[in-house]
Amino acid sequence: MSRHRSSLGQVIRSRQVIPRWNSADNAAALGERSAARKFTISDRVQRSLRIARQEYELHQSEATANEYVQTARILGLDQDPLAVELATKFPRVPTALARARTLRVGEGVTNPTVTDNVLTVDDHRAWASERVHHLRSVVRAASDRPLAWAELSRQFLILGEDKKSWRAMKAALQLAPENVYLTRCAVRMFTHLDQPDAALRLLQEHSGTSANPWLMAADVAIASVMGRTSRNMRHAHDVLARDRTNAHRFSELASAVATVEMERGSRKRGKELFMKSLSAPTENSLAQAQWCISQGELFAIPESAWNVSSSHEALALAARSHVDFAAMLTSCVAWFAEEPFSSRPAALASTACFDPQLRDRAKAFATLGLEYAPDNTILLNNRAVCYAYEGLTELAFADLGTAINTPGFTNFGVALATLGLVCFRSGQPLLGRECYDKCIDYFKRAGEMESALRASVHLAIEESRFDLAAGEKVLREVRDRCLRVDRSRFPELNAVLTVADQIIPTAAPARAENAPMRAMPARDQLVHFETQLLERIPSHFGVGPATLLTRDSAINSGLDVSDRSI
Amino acid sequence: MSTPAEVLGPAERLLNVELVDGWVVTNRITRDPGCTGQSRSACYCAKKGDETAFVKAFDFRGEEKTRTVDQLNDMTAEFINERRVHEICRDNNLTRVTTIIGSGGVEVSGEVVHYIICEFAERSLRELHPPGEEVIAPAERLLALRQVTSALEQLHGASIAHQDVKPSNAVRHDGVFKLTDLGSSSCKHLPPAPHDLEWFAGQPAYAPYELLYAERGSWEQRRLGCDIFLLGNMAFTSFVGHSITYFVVGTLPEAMKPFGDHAVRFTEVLPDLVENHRQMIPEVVNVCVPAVIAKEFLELIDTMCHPDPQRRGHPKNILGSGSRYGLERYRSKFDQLAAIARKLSVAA
Repeated sequence: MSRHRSSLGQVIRSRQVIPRWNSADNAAALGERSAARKFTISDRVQRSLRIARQEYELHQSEATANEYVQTARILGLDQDPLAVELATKFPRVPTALARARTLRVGEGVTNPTVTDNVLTVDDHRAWASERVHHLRSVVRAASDRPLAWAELSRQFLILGEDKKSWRAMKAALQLAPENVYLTRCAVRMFTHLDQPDAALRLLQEHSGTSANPWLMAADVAIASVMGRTSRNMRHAHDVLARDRTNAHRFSELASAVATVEMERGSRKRGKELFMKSLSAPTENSLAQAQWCISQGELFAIPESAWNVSSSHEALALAARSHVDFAAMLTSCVAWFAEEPFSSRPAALASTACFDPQLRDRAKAFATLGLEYAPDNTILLNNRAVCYAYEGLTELAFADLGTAINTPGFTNFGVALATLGLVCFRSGQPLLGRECYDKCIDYFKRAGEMESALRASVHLAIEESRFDLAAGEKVLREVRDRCLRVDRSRFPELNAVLTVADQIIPTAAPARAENAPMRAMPARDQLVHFETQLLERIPSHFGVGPATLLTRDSAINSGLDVSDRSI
Repeated sequence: MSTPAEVLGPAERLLNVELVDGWVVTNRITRDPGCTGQSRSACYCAKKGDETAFVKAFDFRGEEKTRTVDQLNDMTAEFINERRVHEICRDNNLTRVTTIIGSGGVEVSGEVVHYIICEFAERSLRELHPPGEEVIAPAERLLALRQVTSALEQLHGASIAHQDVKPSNAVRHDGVFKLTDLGSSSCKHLPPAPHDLEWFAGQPAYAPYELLYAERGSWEQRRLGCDIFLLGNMAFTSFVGHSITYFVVGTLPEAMKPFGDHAVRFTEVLPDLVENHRQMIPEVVNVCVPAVIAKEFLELIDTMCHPDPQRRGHPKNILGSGSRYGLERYRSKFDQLAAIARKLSVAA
């Protein structure tokens, strides 16, 4: 598995129920830290309250009142009438606790305030640095604080200090090796650091994995990420088959197993399990179900499931499915604020770069994401697209160059399309057309019809800037082809067609007025780049240099280059 | 939790009844209402000449009428346990524990009431040194704590865990503080008492965290370790006015509290307890304890009331020098802090 996935397809098409790294309090509030059975209050414990009451009635002092209130509150009987009365009568008792609470809140974990705007890198880094500084002094003063170590690990991850993050998490796990919450945090960290084998080992070594559904869900998901079957899979099925009163506790497990079933082709069983997970979902299982729907699976998320708080990823995916990219960006902002170390929210948000209205925010997201994941090729590509549209073709070319030189880069089709855009915007339409043609060919051979159609729409937009009739012709052809495709599954295609409809009729006059085309990068550079890119495409795609007939050579050989049927 | 109607049993009709050795019951102090409101036991003062004693009477017949035979068995077992623990204390000459004077049964309205007679102490630490009251000199508080530590040390020496150490169970008798109320105690040399099967035996307001979350451990950890925590908690309560359990557990998120809507395992909540302890307790101690002894007092509380039972106890004892739950170092420390505080008050 690559740490930073390289295309929208990979981000959108692959998702597992990897545990979220919530704060300890949030995880508790979401029920992730609860045990299976609720302990009942024994007779003896109940009697202790009666004895405290009797003591108070006998002595009527502040000390006995204090003991009664403390006992009632520890037993969870905050609303006990006498306790309430005594708390009013002797205000020192509740005041002391309230003061203690403020001490705790003062040190608590809070993310920066989420606004509709993308936070700057400096905001995130400054905040994380401040937290690291504080947490370091905290663990230096008392090193036995596992939650402080875990939080330190999270902040290091935000700052991109992977080794330090791992060391801090190691300290947390040494202090509390059996803690479910910390184990799930560590699993999330290992997944982020592209070490799923370490995550799986940690889960397998934990004594509670076969009994705790939260750990079992993580185990199933991580094994799936590694292309294996979890050794707890059969047990997970057994557990889910039993009737459960606490559906929320089993929601992520049902979701993780459902995903595996779907991958195996058992769609009916998968849908059943998804529906089970949605009866009392977590934010993660809701996002997983929404992701599955966006893959074309037909089942409906119950209205009540959307009551889950902080379901930013699910909302972002739902907004994308509804072709509401502005809403998607808003949800991505909140999602990113919760998981600033993750490139997924930035990658998803930056895909809105095709929309002129959202381009600035998409670029800001891509830039922010690149601060944390500088080798993320989808972010590099999307920022290159933004730069190209802004006329900053040199910067676009540089980003694209960085992307294709990233080890393990395989996203040739998208790179060809972006190169085509850069060529067009650099005043090299012939070269641009060729790149787009190659890109469309590549996608068709790869069986990615939606991507091929999207590239065609982008070609139509660029073409129309030079020749309106040619652009409109390409767009017509795309529309004809779109009739054969289920467009409901491809929100980006729908959105880009809408954008094309708005842009193309006004494209030619705009070109005439704002004429100056950037001559950089130079044609030779672009040709060299294209050749380099095509050389790396595996031969079975049939678009490599061997089959390449560049426009220049075609013109020289007298061929008709106007036919670019798709 | 509704309050059931009180039902007076024969144990509550002991006034003016003559007990063993000429002791006459004079006035009632408290009654243990049990869970159903049916009286379980009642406490009295008894006189013999100028001497005063404390009487705890048990109401087995009332139990027999209204409850199951298992519960009756539990109650008799608890009575026997308490009496035998007292006898062990007497036989071992434990001078810092209220001594048993006698025990027996007396017929009241045709029903037999069993009782224990012990030394009587009129006032407890709770009344003499109201927790959190600044008028009490720190040196006096620390001296009292030192005496309670000695008492606990004596009990532990006889393999008895008190398990209900709290300000109201430390009483002053003949100028020294002694521990009383052995109803929740466990002795290693006696058969397990019914409360040994419970998570914890004493008051939840003072109980160690692991017992609130039903964590089982070895006898030493669950009983002697519990006593160390309770002693540290008593020291904390004495200066601060509120128990450390109340502070640390009371500020947990609702979902992590021991008797909330969800069950939580101790291993899961332990990091939160440590976090709360580290965040709040130093601040609270610095406010409530004189600055000159605050640091050492805090170290004392940290080792006695550490949320992790594995880390409870004096560091030198944990490292192997002395008994794992030995109290002698704590006794010395309380002595030392009392001396510092006394010097301070003299200088002032």
